[in-house]
Amino acid sequence: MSSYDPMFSSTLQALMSGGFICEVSNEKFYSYLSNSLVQDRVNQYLLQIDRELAQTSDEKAFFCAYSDAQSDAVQRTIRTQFKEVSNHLESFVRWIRLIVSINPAGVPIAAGEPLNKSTILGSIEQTPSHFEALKQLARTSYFKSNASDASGLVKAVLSKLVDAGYLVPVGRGGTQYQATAKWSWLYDVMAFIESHECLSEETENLHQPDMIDG
Amino acid sequence: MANLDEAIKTLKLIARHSELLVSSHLNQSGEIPYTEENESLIRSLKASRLVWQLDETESVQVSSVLTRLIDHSLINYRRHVAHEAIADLWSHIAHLINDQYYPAKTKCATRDLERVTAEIQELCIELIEMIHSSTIRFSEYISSKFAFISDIELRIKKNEQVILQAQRLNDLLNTFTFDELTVTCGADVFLRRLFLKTFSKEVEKSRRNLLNSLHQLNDLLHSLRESAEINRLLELFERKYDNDRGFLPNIESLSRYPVFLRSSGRCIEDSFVNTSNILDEDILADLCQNTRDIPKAEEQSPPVTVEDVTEQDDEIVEQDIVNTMAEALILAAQSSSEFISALDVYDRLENQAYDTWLYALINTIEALPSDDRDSIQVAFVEKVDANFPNNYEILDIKVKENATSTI
Repeated sequence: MSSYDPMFSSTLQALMSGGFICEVSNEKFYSYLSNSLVQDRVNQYLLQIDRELAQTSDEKAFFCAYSDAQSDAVQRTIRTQFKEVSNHLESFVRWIRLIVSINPAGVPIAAGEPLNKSTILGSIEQTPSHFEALKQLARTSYFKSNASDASGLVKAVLSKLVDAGYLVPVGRGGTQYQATAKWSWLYDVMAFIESHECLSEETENLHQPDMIDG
Repeated sequence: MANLDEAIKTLKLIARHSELLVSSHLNQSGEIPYTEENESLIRSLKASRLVWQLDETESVQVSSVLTRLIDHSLINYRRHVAHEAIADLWSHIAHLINDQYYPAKTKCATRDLERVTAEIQELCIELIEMIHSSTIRFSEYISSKFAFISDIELRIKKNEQVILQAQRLNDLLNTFTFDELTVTCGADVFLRRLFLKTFSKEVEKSRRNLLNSLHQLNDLLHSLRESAEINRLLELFERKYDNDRGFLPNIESLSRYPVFLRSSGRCIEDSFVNTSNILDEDILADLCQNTRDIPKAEEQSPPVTVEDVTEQDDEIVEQDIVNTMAEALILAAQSSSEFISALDVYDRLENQAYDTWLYALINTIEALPSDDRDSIQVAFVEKVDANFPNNYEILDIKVKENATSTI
């Protein structure tokens, strides 16, 4: 009879709660899951309930996935989840683009990247176009904020991203955050949509000069 | 003030002839050609002790003070061409060993040997310093993450260039093998101590640092390429949303899904405690101690101001009609030899449920003082429940005077 393993149990429960386990969200569980023997053990357990241990393409996050998506019920769930992401994808894209334009290094939000509320706020207050972009973003159905000042809007967006598992607050000041590897998962989904919807080809066609000329 | 003037005058002189001085340092080993047009310049430089000449027939050399200054200002340039400089210096040392050190030693020319030994030692230290500073500059790139370049594509290009430079330097350092150094040093004790012990140790240290830097530069390049790819993806989506308002991707046509779309979400529910497990009784008892929540509202409610209500009008609370009727029925029954039916009385009640009326009557009877309760006789009209034979449905309650009562 196998005995109770607290670490195995806590890690599995975290996975089965729908969480993304990365170095930022839970360093202890991430390091535990990085061991291939543990991965096998976790998979052996999960496969019995039609689940498996999955990783984002950059291997920065672990999550629990359906192992066999053939049943109608699972397919319905997957489609519902995808719809949920698709519905709010524009809000995410606009937010990341805003952060990229604020960030002097010009790099997108990625696992482990720090986010400082004061820095974001400072840049937004100095640049009217950024403030306008933030106002539009905060009014979307995903962020749903009625705040009128920049501070309230930024706070609403950051809180929502914390609730959704994309950010983790650092310290108790409420001004420092760190991005989790759930962004990696979102980028995987975006890359899939790009290829599935042939977005690159579409854009290339848009930029092609008119070849049929009388 | 005189000192200040002299210093300023010297610096201005250097500035005025900077081009010639730097050019002679870089291209002519610090030698300034003695030409007619340079004559006045040489005189001024000599007066400021910035150049020296052994005699009129010898060439004019830039002084060591000025050489050091030019050297210092050229540090970045020297770093960029470090691999070439290192190779040149090593080749110079090798020639010195073969052409001067060994012959001097063979001939027992003590003074020449001392001079060459000192020179080899100095050049060896210079070489170590050069290798060290060449490797250090790569860690500077790593700590800055090329942040001095704002465009991510240009940053990637610069990163690739730096990796190439580091690889070339690494190739060069790899040429300082133990075998090569052993051949160069032969059996000479001084050379073996200098090159096989000191120099090879320092080269190995620098090589380790360089390999570490190369590894980090490659990681940085990988992460920059990833960022560039995500930026491309974001721009693509932004353009799509700008051009196609309400764009909504769908996966209805898919029959197989990639793993990141198969995220199962929450698939665990909170479990209940097995209270019948006697082994856990003590733990559960402890846990239960603090489980009762004290409503925060009670804790935080503000103090209530007590008003003096004695002067206010009396508030008359009207009795419930059902209770009033129940009391009236019992009172009537206490002096009635015939049963009074609750069903008959119910007809006089308006907007009341029959069940409520029956419950109110029974509750009123049960609440009577024992003497009053004994003064009445209660009978139930009931029928057996169709599904549960042990249960009875009350249809009516009848009450009359209890003839056997002593009252």
